[in-house]
Amino acid sequence: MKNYKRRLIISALFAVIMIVIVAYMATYFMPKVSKSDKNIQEISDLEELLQNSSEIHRVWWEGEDSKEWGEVKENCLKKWNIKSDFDESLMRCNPKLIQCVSEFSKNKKLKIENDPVLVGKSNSTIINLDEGGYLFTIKHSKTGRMINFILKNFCHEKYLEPRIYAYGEIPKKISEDFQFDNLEQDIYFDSHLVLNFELEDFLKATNSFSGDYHSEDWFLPAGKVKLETMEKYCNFHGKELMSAEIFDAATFLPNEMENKKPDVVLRSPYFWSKKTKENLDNCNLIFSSECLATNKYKTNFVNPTWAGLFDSMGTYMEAFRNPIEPDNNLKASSFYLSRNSKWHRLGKRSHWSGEGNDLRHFFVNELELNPSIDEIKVGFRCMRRVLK
Amino acid sequence: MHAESFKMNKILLCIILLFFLSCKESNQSNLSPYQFKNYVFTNWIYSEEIKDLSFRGHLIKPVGFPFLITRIKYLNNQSNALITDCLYYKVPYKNDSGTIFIQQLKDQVDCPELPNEESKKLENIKKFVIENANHSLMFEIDQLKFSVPLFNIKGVSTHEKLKFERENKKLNGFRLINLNEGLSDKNIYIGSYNHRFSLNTAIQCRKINSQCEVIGEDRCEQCRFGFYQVIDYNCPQGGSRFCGISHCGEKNEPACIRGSITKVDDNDGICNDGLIPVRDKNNILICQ
Repeated sequence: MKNYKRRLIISALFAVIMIVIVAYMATYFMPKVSKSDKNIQEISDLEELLQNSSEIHRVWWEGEDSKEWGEVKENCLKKWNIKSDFDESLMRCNPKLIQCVSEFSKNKKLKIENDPVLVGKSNSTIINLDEGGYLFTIKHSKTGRMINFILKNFCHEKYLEPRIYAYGEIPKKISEDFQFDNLEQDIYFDSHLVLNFELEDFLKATNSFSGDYHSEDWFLPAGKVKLETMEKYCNFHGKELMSAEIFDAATFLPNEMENKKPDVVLRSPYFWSKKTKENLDNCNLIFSSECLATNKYKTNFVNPTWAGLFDSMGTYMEAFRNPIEPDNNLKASSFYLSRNSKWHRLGKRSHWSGEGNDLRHFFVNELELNPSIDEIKVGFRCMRRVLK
Repeated sequence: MHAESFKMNKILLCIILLFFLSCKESNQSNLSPYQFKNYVFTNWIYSEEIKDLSFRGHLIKPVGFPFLITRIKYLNNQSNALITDCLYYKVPYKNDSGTIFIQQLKDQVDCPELPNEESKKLENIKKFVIENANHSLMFEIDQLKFSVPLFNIKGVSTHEKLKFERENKKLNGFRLINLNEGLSDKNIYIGSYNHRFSLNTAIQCRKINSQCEVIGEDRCEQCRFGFYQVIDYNCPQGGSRFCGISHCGEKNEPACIRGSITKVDDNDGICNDGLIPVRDKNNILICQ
């Protein structure tokens, strides 16, 4: 009996040990096979997401030329409550387009997970941000895996040709002309004025949004911004407020296009002409007060200059930083002034306090404004110097 | 009976011994080819810097010891810092098969000459081909071929009148961000909005000396509000740089750059009306 019990215990122990060994060997070998499958799945998820992000990048750059804009345009305009025309090239590098396409397009590859977030060095902990951009998130429809990417807003920047330029209106004595050059600097400037939706995104990103903007005004220039906010906006994007002499460089038409190092920088007061006197009744050249009677202003109404800068004469007044004559920080040529006004000349600047839009912030006596005007919109744009 | 129980004990002992022998030490650093591909793909797609490949194509020499192929810096799981991986290869020779090593740097400044024991290894390689071309890192390891797209590596930008900047990247203006562990709340940028050169509060992020040498580290990429260049030694790589918003031309601030041909002499720069450029004690041209 005792023997039998002993044998039973030993057999039971033996059986347990064998089961443990077999189970251990099984778990040791099996995971290699399932881990390999998991590796393949993980990479194929990622590859699909990268492909989708590449598609979103395509739409970002194609903008109004993308087939998706054609597909969703009507729905987008309805959603944004936009009833009037606008320059659809503003759809390039535009997060509103990507959001709208995500919502209305049949192409599931273009779905984004959240609203895109504007990121810059001053509001983000992402390393090497440079100019920042919009942060997007996309999600794999089956596995839920997500990836993130940033798209920069490059589309509307223009490179200023390295040349010799000069500041302000051409003086009576040419020896007093102030020349400067960017032959060893790379400079980019915004081709259009900063828009309302861009300012709104910046204010949201810096927790300063007060909810005043309406989507129907999104694609018009921001016109009620303090100078300090303009500087902060540009800086957030890795840029600086447009400098007066660079604005002059981008607007005065070079007298000899091929000669980038002229001894004398001859220039005319009008961006489209080399003549000193011109007919000023074309609203695509100067959008003066008369133009408001027959046209609804829209961004980029005034033709681009030789360098690609829009709305250089008439339209909104525009603020600059002026390192040469700091008080002359305002382009007064605008739709507040009649086409005969002396202010419709390149290089001719007035002053703005930068603190607000009512008349006490301007030199109204020299502007000769219509008495019905009680407020002046001032637009702005940015520029950047590429420092390697 | 006594003999029988002794026999049983021997069998039990053998079984227990076998049990422990079967416990092969699971070596975390040995990878299968697919694990290697997974590691490389899921991490190196976030590469921001790749040192030039010291060897490329089908690697057949030198033999005998692992040599460093390249160093890869890529975004961590919060994209707030870079991780460095060192890639090594030991070429197969006669009966000795090849091995690929990946060592992640912890405290070291740069890749050591040889990989350490903690490196990830892919063993029993007969053929290894690596190429960095067309914005991708291409691998061929025996039968396994794959490529890792490099979205964040950019070459020299091209600039053209009337055009936007072309970054010479896989996708212009696109950057892949790794947020597998969400965003960090740790501050990584330096400088404050109200820092000013004229108040001596601006952080100097790059210092150049009279021999046009960069003294110390260039950390201008870390400036929260960007950086600007001053006119000091007219060096080909530009001047010293400070964090913050430029107020060039204003009183006691650096002079703005006038240009290369139009400046009257080396002491010329743009200043506000009524101010003139003068050299300060650090040879920086300022407006006074």
